[in-house]
Amino acid sequence: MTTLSLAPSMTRQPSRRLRPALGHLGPAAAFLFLALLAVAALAPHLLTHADPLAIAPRDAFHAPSAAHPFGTDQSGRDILARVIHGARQSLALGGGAITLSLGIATILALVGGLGGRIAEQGVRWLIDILFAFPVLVLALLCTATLGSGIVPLIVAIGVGSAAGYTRMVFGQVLSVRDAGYVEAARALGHGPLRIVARHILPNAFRPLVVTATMGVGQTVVWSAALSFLGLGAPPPAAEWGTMLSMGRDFIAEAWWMTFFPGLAIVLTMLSTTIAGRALQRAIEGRGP
Amino acid sequence: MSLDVENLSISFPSPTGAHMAVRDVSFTLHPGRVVALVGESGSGKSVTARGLIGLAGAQAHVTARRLALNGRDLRALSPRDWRALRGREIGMVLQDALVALDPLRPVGREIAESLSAHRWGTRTERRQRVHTLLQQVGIPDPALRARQRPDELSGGLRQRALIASAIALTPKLLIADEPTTALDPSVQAQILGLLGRLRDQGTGLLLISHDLGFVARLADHVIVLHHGAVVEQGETARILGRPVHAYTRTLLDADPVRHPPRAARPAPDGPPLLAAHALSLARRGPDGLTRQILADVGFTLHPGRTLGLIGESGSGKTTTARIVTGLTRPDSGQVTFLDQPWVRGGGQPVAESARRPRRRAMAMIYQDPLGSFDPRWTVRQILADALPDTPSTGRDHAIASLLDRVRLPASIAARHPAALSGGQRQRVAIARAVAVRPALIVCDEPVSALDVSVQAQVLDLLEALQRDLGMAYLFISHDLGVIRRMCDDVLVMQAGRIVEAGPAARILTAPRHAFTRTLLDAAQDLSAA
Repeated sequence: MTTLSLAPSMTRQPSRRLRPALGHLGPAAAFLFLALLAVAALAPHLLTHADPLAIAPRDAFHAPSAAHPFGTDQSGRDILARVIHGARQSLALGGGAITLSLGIATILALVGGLGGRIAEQGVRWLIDILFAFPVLVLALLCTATLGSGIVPLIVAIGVGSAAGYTRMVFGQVLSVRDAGYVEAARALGHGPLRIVARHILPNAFRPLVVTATMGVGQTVVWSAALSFLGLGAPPPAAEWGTMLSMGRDFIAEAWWMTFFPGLAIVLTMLSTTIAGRALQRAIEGRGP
Repeated sequence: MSLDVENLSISFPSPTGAHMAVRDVSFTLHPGRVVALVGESGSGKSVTARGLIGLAGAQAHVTARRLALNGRDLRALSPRDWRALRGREIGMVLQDALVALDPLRPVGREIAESLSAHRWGTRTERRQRVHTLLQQVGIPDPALRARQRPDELSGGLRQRALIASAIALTPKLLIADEPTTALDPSVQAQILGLLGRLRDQGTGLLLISHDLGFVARLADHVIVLHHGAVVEQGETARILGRPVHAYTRTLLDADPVRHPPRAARPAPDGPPLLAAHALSLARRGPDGLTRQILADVGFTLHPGRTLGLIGESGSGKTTTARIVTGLTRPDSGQVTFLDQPWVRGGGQPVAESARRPRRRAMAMIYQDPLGSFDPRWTVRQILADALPDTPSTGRDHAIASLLDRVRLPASIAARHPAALSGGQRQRVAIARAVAVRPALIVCDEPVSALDVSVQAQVLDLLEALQRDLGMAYLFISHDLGVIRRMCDDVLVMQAGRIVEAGPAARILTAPRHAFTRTLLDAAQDLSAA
């Protein structure tokens, strides 16, 4: 019996040892890429010396080469430099929109969850209304009223994606509100502000860390899509969506003009998703 | 028909090698006889029962020198053979009827399924059989009950429905895993009677319980398990009357019934610490009917005394505690605490901000301590939260002395409550309660989720703390043994009303109200050994 039960576990051992190594590879690459993005956003000149806006008509439509690893566009601007410089705007949009979203979600959830029965019903209705608004329509509305640029886009995406987060945080606040430990804190004589800060918010946000991380990637995709439609930074700004839109006209002869900004968008989305999952595992693995 | 078990061992694989959950259990179960497996949680009782019916799990490694039902070797059975055997020849009653029954299915269908799974009879015959069974286990109005879902039945009816499904095919052997845990004493007494009838009709019973009083009433043969090993077994009267092994004696001594009742103390004079007056509360249920949850509840509690609150589940004990702690507002009536209004029903509520300065004079201990701890926090953070006035330099020292007071090692401070045992968790909850130096601790079923031996330790601790710190307890329990041991005065509640109140010694020996007598009789039935 002993030998019988030993055999399968021996054959399983190598894969068991391999799996953690493979499992860490993805998140490591994802976090590395995100770190690179952060550097590109904060200090792009560390990664490239080329000017993203400098025109060199003679160098137009160069295929990727040693001098221009990602090639050049119709005006001879270096695509690599433009992709690197574009990171700032994409991340600012992504980060800004998600912050706005979470801010709206938190305020609405706290008001609805702790403000009594009328506030609770009001927030439920507001969530339903927000859900009915497509991000695209909001974006058009914002650019029409606030003018084009990064701020209207942040507002549009932030408000547009707030409904989903609000519903999540709201549900969490509702369940944490009635939890035994909140009651215990009240029985200890703690005031409402302390209970919200020390119990309700942290516990309501715990499952949200993961979704918010993945949400950054989502908003980057959204902002690229809106820029592609001409609602973001006008050309020739170094913005991934704008670059995609410009490259579309030349896609037959200069594939690199669309491919590399597109790759940046895909990799950003992918690495935030992977990083989010890694965070989820880390959070779930820790404690109860 | 008999079940022979010889040297049954069950082990599970674990990172540190095989973990022996059960070692060398041997017994024989004959029709009309009752064998009881006794021990604390984690002692291997349930694993043994599951091993006997081939449900120990795919990971389990079950060995036995002999495991035979009526001479037929069970060790070589295929899963298919096991399925044919279970239900037909060995029935199983699981611990928690609410979990064991399908919540979305009427109980009648559930019982009929154990018949149809063994291709018993036609549809009409099965329906008739279900009604007969429900009647047999003492469920009134079986035609109606068969159509109801488990959540529409009371705990006692649910447990009986579960027993009905286990005996549907009249198995000669029945395994009952903690059949009365979490039930009120009066319901426990009914289940006890039902199991006794089944035994008299010739069913062999394997009873699993940590409740020695229950075991004493039913079993012929007792097996005491400790950490998976048999420490002692033999005739019930011998084991419970003249235990040889130290562990058996510990278990017996832990039974609160065997503890001397609380010594009578002189009646208190001076103003009461807490006074509740004419508390009433009505709530509308999901069916739209308004129910009176509390009606005209009033009592006083003096400093340093313990007031017990007894009654069946649903009688309003917990609601009373929630009103006393200011977490639920009554429709009318008021509570005075420390000579000032604390809770007032009707038009002029007492604001929470008016209560907050006095909050720290009243602490709570819950039945489920885990739910009252923030899951992100370690024991240190939980206790530090209750000690906000202590400067951070002295905090670690204060936490260590608190843990010492509840007899926990200081090393526990770094751990999360989820990683602690039930007894340790309740001690942490007690430490948090005494941290604020309260004048009153409201204890809502503080020991009912704990094993008897742990129960005794926690009750000892509560007694010692009261002696040292002099606080009053409002003590809710459905266990009369616990009440007898802990309380100076007792309130008996039924359907939201106080039907009897007075000194514990008088109420528990010479009850005046009929309902109190019913409660006492039920408890007597269970503990008369």
